[in-house]
Amino acid sequence: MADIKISALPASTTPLAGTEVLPIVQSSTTVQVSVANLTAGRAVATGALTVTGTMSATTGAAVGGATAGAGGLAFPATAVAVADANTLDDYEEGTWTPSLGGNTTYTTQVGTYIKVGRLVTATAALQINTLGTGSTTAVSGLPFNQSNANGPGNLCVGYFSNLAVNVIHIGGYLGTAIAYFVSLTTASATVTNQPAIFGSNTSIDFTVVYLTA
Amino acid sequence: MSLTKTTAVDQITVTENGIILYREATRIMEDGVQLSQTYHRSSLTPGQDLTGVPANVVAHCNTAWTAEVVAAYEAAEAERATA
Repeated sequence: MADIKISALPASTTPLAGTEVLPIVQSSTTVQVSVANLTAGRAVATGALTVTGTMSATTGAAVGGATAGAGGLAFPATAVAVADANTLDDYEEGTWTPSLGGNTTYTTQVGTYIKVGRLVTATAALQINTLGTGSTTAVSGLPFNQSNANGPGNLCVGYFSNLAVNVIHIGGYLGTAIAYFVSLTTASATVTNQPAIFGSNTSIDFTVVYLTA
Repeated sequence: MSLTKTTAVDQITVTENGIILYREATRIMEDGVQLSQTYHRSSLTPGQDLTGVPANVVAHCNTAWTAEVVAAYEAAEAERATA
């Protein structure tokens, strides 16, 4: 075949099928490789990659140095915080142990959390066996600190039974890593105190939503 | 094929007011390859009882929780309770 400049060859039909072959030199031997196998299974290093069309992954994807799994988007185990308001920099889910402290014993003592960016949603279920020296108003052990700069988080009680007092309202607010329960035993326009609500055999399920720093 | 389950404290954070947060990672490994990982988080307030807390976390608590830090935290809590 006469020598022909590449620029003189006819244009290919795009998009390529992947079965087209190219010549490459491998271990000093000229061999062929298909377009599909040109980068298959091999990391492609680039300073930046811009995709102008849509992008999809047939399995998982990862950011921030995380390892991609079988599906979904993986974030690194230790988040790299990004200050930009339009950047999602963290996702984590797990469990935590809500506690009244002291020598309280429990029949049930479980909690779960999900953190998306700076937003934490934590649920808890406590069934107290014997209160002992534990707190009668506060649950500690929250999985993340609340950001003081963003005001009190929100505490919502979904279920309770066998409280130490009869209440007409129960709610709460968050300290740095503690949930403080406030309640009303009589009608009032303002919550002014924190009556002791936890006792032996009390059960309570609640959710807190707050921002971390 | 051998399956192993390990639990390790993989994060410890000491915050400005002395509260210490830590994360325990439980990993299921098969022949050295990680199959799954779950997290359990805890937070400790200055002066809190440390029974059952992992030793490396206790070491951080003992360093961070000086008498001044514990007193400052308790004073802040007392102020919050009366506010």
